[in-house]
Amino acid sequence: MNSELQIIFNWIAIGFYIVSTVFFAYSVSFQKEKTLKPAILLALIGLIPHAIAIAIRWKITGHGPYMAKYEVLSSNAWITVLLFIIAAWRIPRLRPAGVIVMPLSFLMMAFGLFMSPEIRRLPPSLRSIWLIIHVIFNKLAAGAIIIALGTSMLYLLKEKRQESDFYKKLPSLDVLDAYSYKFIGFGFIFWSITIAAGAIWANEAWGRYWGWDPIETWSLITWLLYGLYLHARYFLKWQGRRAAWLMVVCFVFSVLTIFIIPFVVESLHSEYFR
Amino acid sequence: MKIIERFFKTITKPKFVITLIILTLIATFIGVMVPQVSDKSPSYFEEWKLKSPKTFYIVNLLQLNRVYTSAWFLALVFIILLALGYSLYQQIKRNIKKREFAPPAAADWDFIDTETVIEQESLIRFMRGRRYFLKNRSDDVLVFSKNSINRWGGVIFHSGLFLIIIAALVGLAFQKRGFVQVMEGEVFSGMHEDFLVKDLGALQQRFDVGFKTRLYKFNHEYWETGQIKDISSSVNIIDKDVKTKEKTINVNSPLKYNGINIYQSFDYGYALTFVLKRPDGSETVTHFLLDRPDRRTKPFVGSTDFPQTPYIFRMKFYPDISMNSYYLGRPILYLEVFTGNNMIFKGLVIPGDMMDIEGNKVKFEDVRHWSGLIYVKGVDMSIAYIGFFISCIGASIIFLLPYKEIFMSHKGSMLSLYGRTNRYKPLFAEEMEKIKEELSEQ
Repeated sequence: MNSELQIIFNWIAIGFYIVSTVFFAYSVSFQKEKTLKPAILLALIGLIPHAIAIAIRWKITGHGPYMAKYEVLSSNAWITVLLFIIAAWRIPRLRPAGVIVMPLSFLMMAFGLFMSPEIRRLPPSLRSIWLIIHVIFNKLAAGAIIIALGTSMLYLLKEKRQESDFYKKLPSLDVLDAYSYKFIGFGFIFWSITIAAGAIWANEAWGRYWGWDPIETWSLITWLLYGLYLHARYFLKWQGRRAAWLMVVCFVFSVLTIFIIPFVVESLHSEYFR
Repeated sequence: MKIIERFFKTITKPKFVITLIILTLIATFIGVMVPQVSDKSPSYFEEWKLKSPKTFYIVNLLQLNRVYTSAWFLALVFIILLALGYSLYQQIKRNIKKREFAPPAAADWDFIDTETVIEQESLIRFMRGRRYFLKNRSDDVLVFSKNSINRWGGVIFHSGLFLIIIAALVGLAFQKRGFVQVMEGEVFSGMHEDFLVKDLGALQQRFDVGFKTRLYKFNHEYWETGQIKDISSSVNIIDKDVKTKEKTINVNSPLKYNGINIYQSFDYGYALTFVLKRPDGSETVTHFLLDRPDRRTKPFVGSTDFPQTPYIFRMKFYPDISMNSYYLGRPILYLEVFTGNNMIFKGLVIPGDMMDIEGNKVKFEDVRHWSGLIYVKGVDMSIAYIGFFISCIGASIIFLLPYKEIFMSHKGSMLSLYGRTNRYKPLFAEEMEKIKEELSEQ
């Protein structure tokens, strides 16, 4: 019963997120600023059934949302939407980024539901305080990166349609670019903490803090790419379109690392995403 | 001397630093794309060598199949270490040096008319409300700054990376690591030769643990879904014939003894013992160690030579006849015995059964657990931990606390302002506009 209930709450949340996406898409496509507020409100309401679904799942499994695709994707989507709402509340001009953030969030949830909603239990290696730190910061990193993708995409969209009234109401290109930089900065910090916590945990579990496991290595590749982005901005003064496209590349690698590699390669980390 | 100086200046040039990052990216990318010696069995590479000798030759020559221990990768890491070290030295020197107060050029100032004269003290209070602190004060110019710690962010972050790389290199040079499979009731000698797999640092020759370990009991528990709930090994440490108390090694909770950490590996299974008695009365005892399958409905399988005989044993072992359990109940083994390609025996056997194979009596003697144990004589990893911690702090300082500096000068009701920052300039420009607005409203 509880298991069905959480699926129902998940679908209710997805429903809200889809309607929110429609409002965002309408706002951005037809340049109607008025629909941005209801879009944010719908996303905020959607967070409630989503949180209930995560809480029910937590109660059933007895562990946090970090085992199996369904839990990982659903909790990542929740953190992303929450981070986005906080960012949109603090910086109202970033609201149109919802047109990128919301569909990515509900697609993550729906994908998780279709792939593996069955319960997976916690293996002994995952019972560590470092796992909590590792997972929380990984989700925060994913959220920050998705928002940075949103601002970078808005930059690219606005650059093409500078004459449009709607896009004129968006933050200036420079400001959008600066926000992308800032959110990637957040993402880089969170990703660094994820790697550090994971390394300390690996040392406790297996006696070495780095084993060149495929996911570890991909995580390092992604971290290096973000490092490259930050150095290119600082030293080579890369900004604007070039930086936005580099951000898109970084995002693709992040998705590969978090969601695709655990599928295709055998790794110590694969367990969480089976 | 000049050459050395020029070398260090070159490796810390921004473009060179970016090249180093790209090279590291390429190296790690090769590491995940090309099968690595540490991940695959030696037979995999033998097969590769036979199938495509030219590709294998190039890969082997360039050490692309052992990237992370290759000479070129270590050289790259060493150059990164030098670049980081010299860059740190430069940054620290620059930060310690007292900065000269450099006012902006007259053309860069913005002017606002506040209509009334704002006292310097009011400006200081106003800026303090925005968490800007007075950095410099002269008769007509006030200099405020925020997040002064930011200039140390780079030093802190890169120091952390420097320590992590040092720890990694020390580990690569001095670490001793070995894996062994121990059967219940058996003793691991602790000798270098008896490890199944060894991973020694470049400057290490042997890994003798210095004590023996007897596996007393291996425990395994499962969730109702069949996933592992817990595994642990109960062991006795035998140090110079003095038997210590029984200790338990759990996942995430290693046993520490005499500077050696013993970790519980995820490799475990059942060991099947066979005794082969020849017509002349001579005996050979052997143990086949079978790995746990990923599902409990699957058998524990193995295919291996029987030592000192021409026989190959192919085994499918179920710990319980229900064929749906990892626990030992009523075990059953489906055995096939080959000599070359000829099958000379096949059938179901249980412990205690005797088989007649080409005149030899082969007895399925017993079944026991075996457990994988990892022995590590590690280098103290506190350096790496400190490195992780301070690099995260450094990254936070760099990106969360950008340095901001605002100059204010007033003549009568005319207030001149100038601001500068090292990050997120358009956002700072917006902040400056707000400050100007609020000041003109005062």
